[in-house]
Amino acid sequence: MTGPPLLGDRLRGAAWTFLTAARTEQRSMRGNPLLLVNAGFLPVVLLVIAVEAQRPPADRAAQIVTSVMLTALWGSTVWTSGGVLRRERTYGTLARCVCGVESPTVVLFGKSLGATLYGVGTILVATVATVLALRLPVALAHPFWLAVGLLVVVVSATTLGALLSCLFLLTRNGLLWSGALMYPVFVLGGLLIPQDVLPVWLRWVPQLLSLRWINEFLSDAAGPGPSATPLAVAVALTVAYGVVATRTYRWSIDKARQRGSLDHA
Amino acid sequence: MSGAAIEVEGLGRTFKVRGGDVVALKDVNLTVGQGEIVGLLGSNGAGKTTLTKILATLLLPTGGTARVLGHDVTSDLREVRRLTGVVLGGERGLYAKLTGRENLRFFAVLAGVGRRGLVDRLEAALDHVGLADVADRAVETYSKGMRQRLHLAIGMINEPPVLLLDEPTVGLDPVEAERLRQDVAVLRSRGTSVLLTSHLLLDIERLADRVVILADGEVAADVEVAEFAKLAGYTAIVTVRGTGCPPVLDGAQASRFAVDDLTEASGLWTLRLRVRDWSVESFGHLGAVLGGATILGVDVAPLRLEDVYSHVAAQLAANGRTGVGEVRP
Amino acid sequence: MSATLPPAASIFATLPKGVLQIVFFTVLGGVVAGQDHRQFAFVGGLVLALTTTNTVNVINVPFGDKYFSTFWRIRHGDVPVAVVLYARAVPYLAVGFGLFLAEAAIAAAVLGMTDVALRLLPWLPVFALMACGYALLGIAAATATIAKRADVLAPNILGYLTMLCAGAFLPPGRVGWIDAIGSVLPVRHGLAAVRAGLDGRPWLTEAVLELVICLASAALGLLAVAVQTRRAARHGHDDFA
Ligand SMILES: Nc1ncnc2c1ncn2[C@@H]1O[C@H](COP(=O)(O)OP(=O)(O)O)[C@@H](O)[C@H]1O
Ligand SMILES: [Mg+2]
Repeated sequence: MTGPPLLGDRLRGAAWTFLTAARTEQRSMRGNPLLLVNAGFLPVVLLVIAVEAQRPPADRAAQIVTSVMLTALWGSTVWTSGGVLRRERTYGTLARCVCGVESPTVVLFGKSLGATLYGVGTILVATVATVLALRLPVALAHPFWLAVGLLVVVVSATTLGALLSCLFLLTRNGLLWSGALMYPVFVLGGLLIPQDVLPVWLRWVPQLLSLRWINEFLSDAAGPGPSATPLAVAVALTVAYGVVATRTYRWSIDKARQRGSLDHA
Repeated sequence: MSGAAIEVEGLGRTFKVRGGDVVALKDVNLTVGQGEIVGLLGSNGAGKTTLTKILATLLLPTGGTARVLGHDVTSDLREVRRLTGVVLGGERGLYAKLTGRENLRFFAVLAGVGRRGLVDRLEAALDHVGLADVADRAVETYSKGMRQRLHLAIGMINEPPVLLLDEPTVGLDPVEAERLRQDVAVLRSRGTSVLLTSHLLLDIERLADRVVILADGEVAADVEVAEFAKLAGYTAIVTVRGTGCPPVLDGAQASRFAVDDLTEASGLWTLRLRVRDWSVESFGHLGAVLGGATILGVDVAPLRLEDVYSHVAAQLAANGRTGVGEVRP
Repeated sequence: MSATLPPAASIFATLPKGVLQIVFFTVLGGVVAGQDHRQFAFVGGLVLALTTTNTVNVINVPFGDKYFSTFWRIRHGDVPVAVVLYARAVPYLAVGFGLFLAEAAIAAAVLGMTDVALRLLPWLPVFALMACGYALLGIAAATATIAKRADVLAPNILGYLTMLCAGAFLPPGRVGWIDAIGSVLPVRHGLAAVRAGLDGRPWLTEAVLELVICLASAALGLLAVAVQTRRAARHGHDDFA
């Protein structure tokens, strides 16, 4: 018989599963035009109304564009990566997904990445097109740091989406929650509506959202220059989301295997 | 490591539902040897799917142990999942918007199929289940039978040494079902161990080495297929139609034939006899029984496993064992 | 879909969503265009919540028939299809409007805009007219696209277009093509009438235009129903699959 697999083989196997899951999810997004519409329209609408209501000066324009993109990213995350497990349940594929050879978490994060890339891609295209159409003066002062920021955005949104997915799995009304969670973060996420506009007793809320720190980092990177603190906080929060997501997911799966509800719709 | 492919000891599973507990499995003991094909029978709700799910690590038992090739299904998940393939009947469990090939590819990777040779393997599997022509169509356009065949391809894609098939022929037309049986027969030659649940006794008859009947959350019978056929106590049914006086069986004749049924209407009678043991002499004995009567026609039907199963199920029911998970308050 | 959800759950989800939508647009108005724009955005936010969050549920009527494959029964019945369709939409409209009133009251209190909200009370009939127009166009769009996979897109796109073009947040007269699209959709004229009325300007023309668009949407809906019914009869695909 074969001995225990080598660490290198294990890692390679996990990476292969992860990438396949990402690719599969991206493909199934293609068959779902609603997600495309939600990810594509929201940044356009928000950007146009925010900018045309009062044309911003050049330094403020970049901030608005960043905030709009991250707001739209939240809006699409609740549906795309946040919906991964909900869709798994509707299709009845959850059982097979959690009973593969690799850890279910690898599959979940892979799928979440696939969905996030799709959402981020759509939002980027829609936003850039709108910026050009509106002739907004947006300067890219520190392209390297913007790229770093974008990478962190993808990782963070992937993790956040996985976390939402796991939380939605705990309830039967995931669809309802997806719809209900959009506007609270629009208002309290510290993105388009800055933190200091909120009443004092609510100002802690945006601090918990990694996207708010990425927003700060990207705004700085587009203007005065990048600073490390917001980036570090965003990464730390992302790690925390990942840990909570993994724990919740394990717990849900164990619970479902106990109850025999793994293949319930 | 033990030699058995599947070992189940004292396995129990109770579901908590509103209004009490449902005992799906009480105390199940069974083994499937390596390379053996075991047919699992039982009425609806007997716990067949529950047993399959526990072996597939989809469900935790509430008592007892189960091992696949020596690996415990509750603690040794990774190994068990690597070594088993599972097919649960039904139309769900596939990504409707993805094509058949995309579905198969994803689940193959989940089952541990590596990158090397994946494409060829997908091709071969799709070809094998006859889906090659429709492989690039979205699964939402598939018929019930096509979905079932895709499930089969998924369950067998990693060529697992242990295969769990829960009603794999449900939804297949007779031709498709026959092809599936041929597939499983090929597995036998490869040395794959199979636990096969089916309502089609033809599947069991053609494929299984052994039959296990679940009833009341326990194994009610566990016999070779040849032995199973004997459980009914007869091997053929002879139907005779005639006029005048129907024949009457004497003591010696009654030891060879049992009257299953006798109907008379407007001078015509129909007699159904169970033949306990069919042999060359049976013709002579039958001639003796029918000697004095005016015969219009004779029809001989060999025993079918359906008849055996109905017989065994009727016996179980008579003993107060319905075979269905009972509700305890 | 939400048609199958218990009403308690959908109220539980819709009410906070509507409140937060009003709050979001109002505060955003203040942030991007100054304190003066807050009141403008508040009135607009109310209309957006009324239409895109509450009234939008009427499309559950045509969608419900699709998901539960019940359209053939309606087609087979004695009552004209359109009558059944619109009659079943009425409860959704009524519940939506009731929820909207609650959302508006809560949002106004949160935002400190109760005085504005009270001044809007006489204009509620115009709000109701906007809701009707939006519902009728939504049903028409959903019915027209119901046989396609794109069916769920129609109400969503209508929602985004309303946000963009109804003059709810972005004042009319800023971007030409936006004004053009908005002027043929429900909501924009009604909203203009309400704003004019609040400022003591003449409002009747805009209100009449809103009514005209509402009637046009109804006509479109009837047309869509007729087309779909004939399609279903001819091709026999009542389940729209
Ligand atoms: N998840 C579950 N929750 C509650 N009861 C269940 C569950 N799954 C199965 N059962 C019950 O367990 C019994 C056995 O079911 P099952 O294994 O599906 O039977 P079979 O496959 O032999 O028809 C049935 O009474 C069924 O109702
Ligand atoms: Mg079963």
